[in-house]
Amino acid sequence: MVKRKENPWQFKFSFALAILMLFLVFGYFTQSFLEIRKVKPVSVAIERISGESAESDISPKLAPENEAENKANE
Amino acid sequence: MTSTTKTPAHLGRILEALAWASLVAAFIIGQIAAQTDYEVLLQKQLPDVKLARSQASRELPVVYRMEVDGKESPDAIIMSEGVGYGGPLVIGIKARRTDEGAKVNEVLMLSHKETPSFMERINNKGFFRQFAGKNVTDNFIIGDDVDAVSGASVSSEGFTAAIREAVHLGAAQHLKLPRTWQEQSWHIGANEIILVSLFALAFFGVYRRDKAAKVARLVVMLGTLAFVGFYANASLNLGNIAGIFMGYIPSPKQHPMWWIMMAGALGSVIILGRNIYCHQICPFKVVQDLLQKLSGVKLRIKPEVQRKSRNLIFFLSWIALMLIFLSAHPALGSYEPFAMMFSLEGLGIQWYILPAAILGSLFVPSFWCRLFCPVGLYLNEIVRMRRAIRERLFGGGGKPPAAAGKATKTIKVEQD
Repeated sequence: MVKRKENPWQFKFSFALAILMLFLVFGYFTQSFLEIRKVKPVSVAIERISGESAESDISPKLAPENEAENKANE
Repeated sequence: MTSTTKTPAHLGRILEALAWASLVAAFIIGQIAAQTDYEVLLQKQLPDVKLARSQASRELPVVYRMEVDGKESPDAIIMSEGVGYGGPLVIGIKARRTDEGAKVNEVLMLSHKETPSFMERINNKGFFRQFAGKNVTDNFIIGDDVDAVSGASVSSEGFTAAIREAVHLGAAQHLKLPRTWQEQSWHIGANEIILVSLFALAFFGVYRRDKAAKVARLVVMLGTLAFVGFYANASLNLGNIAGIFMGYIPSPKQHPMWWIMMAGALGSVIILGRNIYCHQICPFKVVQDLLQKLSGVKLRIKPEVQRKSRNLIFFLSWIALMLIFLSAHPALGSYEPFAMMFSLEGLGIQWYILPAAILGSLFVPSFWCRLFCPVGLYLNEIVRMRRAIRERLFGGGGKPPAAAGKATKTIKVEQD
């Protein structure tokens, strides 16, 4: 059975092209990451979550006052 | 199985679980961070203006009154949200009361997820300027009283739809004006018919083996390059797929081509078990094939590299999806060179990705498809899963399903 002849230079060249492309794709990801850093989605999300939880902590305390106000208005 | 062979498999499963968990976390964070705060958006664009939400009417749309230098401005800002090509968008429409109703003065683009190059094109063509001076009871319909920007028609349609809905709602609810405007009808025109015909011809070309099928394949090849590529610039990319998960789905009335493309691409893999999109409709595949014919060089990829490319694409698409989900902005993760190829507009490093992909395609057949394309990998994975499900349901001992078997053959031919 004849073994298919391998061409190492072909493999090396195509591999080099793939590495070049990979390098550029990672460059694109870095560019996007820097863009996202300006918006700071993680800290915005944490702020919003902590803001909501702070509101929900306050509301039970206010509820009796509001009830009293409502009764007074009635 | 020995413990040494078990460890990598376990590690693989742990990594897979971590990848899924991180994607879910990024999705949740991105969704929370992307919640719209109208006042913050407006204040960014109009820092010297004091804003107060109008209490004149509790009905939608949300309207803001403005105070400039302590004096109340005669303009009000009508807020609107819509869906563009890349995702949701928020617009503020400055309008002023007149004797007949109200007129639009200016359109403020407050937030969008469009590809930066598309947005640049829209701004350069002065798309938003055409709305100034229009009455709120005008039609605001593309092709009627609004002109779309060619090469960014989906974004133009998205912005117009958002403006139309807000001003018409404002006219009806706040100003109590009679509905004299036309409602938008279905947008089935030449574009949609061409795309459906391309898919129909592609199916015909795949299932037949005669001379007519050969002609059909040639027509599809040229048609998809000209129409899907250069004319509509509507190639599928990772951003489109991620956008579905984030709910960025345009209405069929606004963008029927999106629905035809999705139905054709996903329908062919799910129902027929054939990846018609990658092999017939993708215009970038046509570009690669033409470059290959032009150079006449067919370098081989080391089989080991080819085998590992599947994991590489999964890894790249994981990074891309993390970026997309965190930013809630599909264009920021779509690393494919498709949009750039057919519009020749891009930002930063995109200018280098396209030439590198073209260079690779000159020497290696289907260079991008085989080593980097996430859309192709996912569509082929659906074909594989479909085949596995069918084999489980109908038994693996029998003849494998014809369609799926053929699809595998096509992929193998490509990878040789």
